[in-house]
Amino acid sequence: MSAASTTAAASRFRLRAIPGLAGPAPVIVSVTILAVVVIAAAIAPLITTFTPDQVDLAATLRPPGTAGHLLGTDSTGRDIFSRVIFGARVSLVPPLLVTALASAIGITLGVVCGWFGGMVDAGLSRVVDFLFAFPGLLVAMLAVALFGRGLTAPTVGLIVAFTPYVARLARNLVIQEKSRPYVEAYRQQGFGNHTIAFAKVLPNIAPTLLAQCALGFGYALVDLAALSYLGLGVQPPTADWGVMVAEGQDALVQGVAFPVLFPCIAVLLVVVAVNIVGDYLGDKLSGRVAA
Amino acid sequence: MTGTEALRIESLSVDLGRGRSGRPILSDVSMYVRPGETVGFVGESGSGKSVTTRTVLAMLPAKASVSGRVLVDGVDVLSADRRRLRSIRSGQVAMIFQDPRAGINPVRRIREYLAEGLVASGGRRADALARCSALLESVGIRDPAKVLEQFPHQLSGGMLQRIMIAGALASEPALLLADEPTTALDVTTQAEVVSILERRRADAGAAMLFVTHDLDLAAAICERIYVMYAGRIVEHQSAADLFANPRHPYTRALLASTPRLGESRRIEAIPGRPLSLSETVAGCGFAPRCAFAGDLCTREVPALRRIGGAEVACLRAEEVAPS
Repeated sequence: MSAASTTAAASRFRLRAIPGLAGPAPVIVSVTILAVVVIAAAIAPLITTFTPDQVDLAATLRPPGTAGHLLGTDSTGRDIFSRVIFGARVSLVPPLLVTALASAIGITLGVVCGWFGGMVDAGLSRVVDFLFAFPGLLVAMLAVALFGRGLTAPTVGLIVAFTPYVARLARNLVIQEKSRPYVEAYRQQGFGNHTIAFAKVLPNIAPTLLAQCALGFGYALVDLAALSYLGLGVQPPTADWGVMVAEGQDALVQGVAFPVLFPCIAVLLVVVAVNIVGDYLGDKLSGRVAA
Repeated sequence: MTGTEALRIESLSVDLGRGRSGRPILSDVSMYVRPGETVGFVGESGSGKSVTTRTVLAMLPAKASVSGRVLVDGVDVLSADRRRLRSIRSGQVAMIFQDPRAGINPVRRIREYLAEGLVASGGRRADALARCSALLESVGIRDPAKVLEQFPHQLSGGMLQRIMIAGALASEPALLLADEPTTALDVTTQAEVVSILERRRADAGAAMLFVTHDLDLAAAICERIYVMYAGRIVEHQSAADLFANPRHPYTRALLASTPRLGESRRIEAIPGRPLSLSETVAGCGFAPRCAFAGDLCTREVPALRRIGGAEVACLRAEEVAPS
């Protein structure tokens, strides 16, 4: 066996859980849903027959299935199917950014705190405690108040809000892991602090962190949709699931549910699917750690 | 003499300080291990054996105050800078732990475990990976290709300990610290592992400090034996002499409390219990449990003194074992 295949050992066991498709049915369904959503968002122009912002006042609030409008039209006659698909782009990328950046910052902070302890830990942990006092949505709204509407401010706000969760989890996991004898064995083999903390201990706690990140993605998606719904995030007429729900309210009052229903279903499906997959990965991988 | 030994400890004392322990956990410990020599280090749990071996790698309890010198091949590890220390840890001294299951990273394959040790001691990764299989064969593992791809939890304790021995000796250290390497194993595996350890050590020409609480095991593979009680070396002599003519009452009691086959005598337990860390004694640490203890024993700390070929820390050693 070559050196390359062994260096890939760490990623190999991580990947095995995904394409193996040997998981329980909900996991397979969830993975399929996520794959479909991501692919659809990526090739949106190819699979939609209307542009998402194309207003047609002659055909408002058409029910699903009529005249080429697969999911019907909203109160200004825009094709709901196109808006849900294009909306996926706007709705999925910011939460992804939030999750990725909050995890990167949070894990780094957490590992540093947990590993080195002392003053560093005491200082950073107080900052984290302080941030914990604010709900994510509130921080995001504060960011909007400071930097104005749009996607940037809420995204940054949520990164700030989510970092403490990841940091605290990483810190506790590192502290727990640090006391295990194999870590001391590494020290006695002459490995340095940074190598042990980031190259040896971090991979061992990664499964749990991964599961937490998946949950974080779900929260971020919901929070950003909520902000857009409140008119603080994505601005109309851009297609976004939160914006769509906000705009569909008028129709809802008139007794027409589907302009609100479909973006809601989209949010629900993605969030539930991500949580199921995240949970499963966490269980599967940490089972290996504990064994 | 100095500088030629693989390990030389000179009047090492380690004190955790007030509030954490009533007495120093090590006081005035001196010992040496010559190159290629196997030296036993015997004592009860909590006597300070492990702290002593850890000190050799400068792994001390937090906030401990330490005095004395610990020379590894002539270099004092207690005053060595970080770089020097790391090179000593990765190349010159290797440690084998009591519980291999705890001491090996649970989520890495065996191949990774062996390779990262070699890389730490300055090898190239490709070379390291290529050597892994030979390393396993050297400790008598029959199916190295399969074992290399397995995780620690898939292997037995005996297998893991052999793997740890292979890993420890891979970097060709001059000194091997074996901290009760067989205590966690069952007796049949124990014999096998010890013989592999001893054979591999001899092949590599490494010196070994063999920590154990099993006197018989120590006698079987060691040339000299140090006996520790309550943080002090109480006796030091050649393995054969120690068995034939134990000088210190504690060593005598230890031997008398070991069951032996084909011998119908009572097994004598040592009365009392070992000193806990919070207890202080004015005189000899063993005096409260000692059948020979006299008045003076409870007042004066006996120094290690030479009697014949042995060194004993007992005021009444001549009466205990008239030679």
